[in-house]
Amino acid sequence: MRRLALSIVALFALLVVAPLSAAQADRSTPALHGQLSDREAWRAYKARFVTESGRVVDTANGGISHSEGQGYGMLLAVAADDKPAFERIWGWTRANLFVRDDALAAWRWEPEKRPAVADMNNATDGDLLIAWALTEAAEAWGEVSYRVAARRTAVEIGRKLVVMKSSNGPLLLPGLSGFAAEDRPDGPVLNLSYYVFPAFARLPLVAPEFDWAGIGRTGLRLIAQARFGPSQLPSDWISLKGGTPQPAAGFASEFSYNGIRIPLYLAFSGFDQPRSHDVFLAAWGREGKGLALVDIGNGKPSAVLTERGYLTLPALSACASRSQAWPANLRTSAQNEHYYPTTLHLLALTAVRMRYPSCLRD
Amino acid sequence: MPTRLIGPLLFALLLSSPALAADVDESALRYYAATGQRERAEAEGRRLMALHPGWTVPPEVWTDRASPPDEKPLWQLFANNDIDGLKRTIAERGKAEPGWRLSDDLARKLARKELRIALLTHAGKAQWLAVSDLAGSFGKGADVDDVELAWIVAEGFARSDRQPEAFALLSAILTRRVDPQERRATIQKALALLPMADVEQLLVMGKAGSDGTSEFAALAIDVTRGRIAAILHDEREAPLEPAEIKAFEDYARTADDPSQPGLVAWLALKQNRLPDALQWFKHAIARGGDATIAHGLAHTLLRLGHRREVEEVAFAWRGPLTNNAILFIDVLETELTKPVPPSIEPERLARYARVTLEIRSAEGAQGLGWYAYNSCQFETALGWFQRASAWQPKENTVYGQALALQRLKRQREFVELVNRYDGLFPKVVELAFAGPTEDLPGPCDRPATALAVEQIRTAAGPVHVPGPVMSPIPVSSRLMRRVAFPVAVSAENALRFPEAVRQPAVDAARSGPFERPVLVARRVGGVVAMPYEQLGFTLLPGWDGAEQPATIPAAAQPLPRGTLWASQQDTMARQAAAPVPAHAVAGAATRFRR
Repeated sequence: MRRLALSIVALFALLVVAPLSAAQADRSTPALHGQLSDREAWRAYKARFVTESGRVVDTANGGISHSEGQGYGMLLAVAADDKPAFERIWGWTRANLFVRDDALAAWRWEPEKRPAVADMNNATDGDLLIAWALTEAAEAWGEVSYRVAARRTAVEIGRKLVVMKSSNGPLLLPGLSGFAAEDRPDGPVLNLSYYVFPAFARLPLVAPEFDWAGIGRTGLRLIAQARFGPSQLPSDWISLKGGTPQPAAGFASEFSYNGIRIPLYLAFSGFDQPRSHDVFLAAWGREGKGLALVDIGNGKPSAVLTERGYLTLPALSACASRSQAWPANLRTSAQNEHYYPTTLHLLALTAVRMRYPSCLRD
Repeated sequence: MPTRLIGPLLFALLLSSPALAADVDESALRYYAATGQRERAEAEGRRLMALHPGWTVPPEVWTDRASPPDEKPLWQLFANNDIDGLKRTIAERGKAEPGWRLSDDLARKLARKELRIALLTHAGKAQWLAVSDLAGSFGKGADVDDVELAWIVAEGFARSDRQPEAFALLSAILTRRVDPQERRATIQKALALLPMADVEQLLVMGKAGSDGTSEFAALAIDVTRGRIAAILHDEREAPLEPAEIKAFEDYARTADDPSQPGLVAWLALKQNRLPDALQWFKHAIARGGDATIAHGLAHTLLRLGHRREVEEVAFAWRGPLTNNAILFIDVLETELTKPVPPSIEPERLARYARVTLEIRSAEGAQGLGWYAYNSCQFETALGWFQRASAWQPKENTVYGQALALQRLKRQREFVELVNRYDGLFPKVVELAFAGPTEDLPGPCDRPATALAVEQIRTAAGPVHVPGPVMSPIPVSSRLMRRVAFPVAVSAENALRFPEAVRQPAVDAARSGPFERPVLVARRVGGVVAMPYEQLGFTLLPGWDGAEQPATIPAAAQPLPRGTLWASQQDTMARQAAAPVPAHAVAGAATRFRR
């Protein structure tokens, strides 16, 4: 009954904002389906990271799985036009992560633990990726059960995880528990890499009553404001207490494995502001030399990642902002890199083909 | 304005640009001014103002150097919109005559025209951020001579998170432009782009005619539509004047577009005028309303308590709009999971089962599971619970699945299930310590009074509702473990039902050998204590080192303040008349505990 009563209120917006034209506008952005042309790379990815039962394994992280990885796997399956693989990964995801009382996924799953689910909390980026992948799958293959599941999760994100009417606009909480203003002294705490911009362009197809574009605009504004220390980069976790972004307490003050996805999502959404990539490109320097993670305090690299998968991120930023040609050595993914860099590699290849195909011209 | 309308509009703009105010022939004026003939310049200025309403004498004419006669060919290129040719010629001339400089007037107009082209190009691609970046001084409302360009810039501002500047620009147009058509079009732009509160401020700038009516009276219907939208969005509290609503209803009643009577209906629903809403939704459907209108109709019927009709409407319109399929599932789910299951016709149940499979709905499957369980059809119940567990294994669903397994005495699968969710679902684990099978919850073991038997036979449910409170079981009886617990089981839930109609492909009991059998559960964030902990057993620390159980389960934690969910819960808590308590569904299985 909760569900019923609540869907009423949300729906008023749907009708008035733009009956049907919202959906038309969203279909005007390119679909993900079939955009990963390197089917050999996808075959290798499945063989290396996706179990028989559909679990996406984070190989560098004790072989655990998470909602984010399942979401990436589902997205790449749609991009590679591989419905059986999509069904396998989604089947595992719902049977093992959707243990909550609502339509959000428990975020962390560890094999050989009792129980395997490690935390009932959700991770909003994982839920966004799953809802987006389901939306793309429904568009690609016309499967109504995907559309229903996409809507259920999207609606749950829209009404449970978005704090309305903040001075910064609608805020996307990173998880249901532990990040809100009332949960911690420096709350609300946000993660700017949880703003999956390409998802915001497509979720209106299943949940048009929510202001996904407005959520995205807040994200863009916060990314522009969160310029900390000598490097002027955002830390992975920011506090919005008082309204102005600050590095959040209790987290490493670092531009790190989370934040490096910010320019990926910007480019993936076709965001038409070349300068938005400047700060990231400046930190990463000339491409080919490794991808720096940066200590926000002193602006110096805290680590330099040299896997090719990571190098696709500056390549994508350079392509999106400066029309730079895609480097020949990044045209396909490496076969000896871990889950995360390989996933980023395939996502970047999909994004560049979808949004900036001219960078791939010889 | 919808993006798709931009293309044709731009085309029209490009064609019509020579006629725009920015291209008023100022050559004579500028010549007189530059040659110091002030009186003649002023007279020319007055002449041009009379000829072009809204145009004013540009202040720089008094300081500019004159455009020399030999610039004529350049002006010609400019007039022909040959920007490339003009720039080429300028470059060549600059090279051939060092020291030569373009006149200020032409330089300014060239820059202006280039800006215009760039703005139109970006707007044509819906690159609104680029439009607002390029717009420069437009934001202060400084430049409204080229009104069509100003509209486009205003749209760029509005669509790139700079609404105050959009408002300033549109308001500058109303201050400085007199053409009635332009002014009305400006209001229409504002209606499409700005919050209604801003539009109201612009409307106040309308001039009253000799008969006292506003110059924007012709837009009354559009304005009312905007106000209704604002009410629906909770952006306006003041109710509309009865006369205004009446006028809109008269228009909507015969409008070709069924979304217009639909709007009247949504307003009525929002204001809880249910009979009005019902009538208008039906009218909108009759005029060709779509699945969204049907959805509104279904919600109106729901509030009126006509659940049976809701089901029909939602079923009929489930295809075109997922919301209706979801509503169809949810509305009957609450019936199916009632402690006293109502009688439901077989064909209705069959239809519900079909849709559940079609959309692979965990909600529908667990609803059918409980209905079958309470009707003592445990085999059927298990089939549905397994589907529900494949699609969303939440605690109550796994609990129902475990109960059905116990009823069917499928001990091996029951053990597997209870052990898999050790540490996660206390209610399921509790079953490992429960009494004999005869104590299992549900209506099927009750003393067979004639009435109860009859009701069970017709799947109408028992009369007696079991009390919600579990009487504590003595510790000694808890220790009499009836099932193997703990034993090592596969951590993965292997249930899958990928195809809609295929028979259950049950794969649940697959337990292979374990390299590292795990018998002790660990803490999980958001999970309360396991029932056996009161016997002195301890759990391993959680993944983050947590050693204490949660004090309240994740599903009952307070909602983040400021979310739609939290405010709706508040509203529902205030509405004592809410038809079903908020946690009715979540508590569906709790009532069986004893």
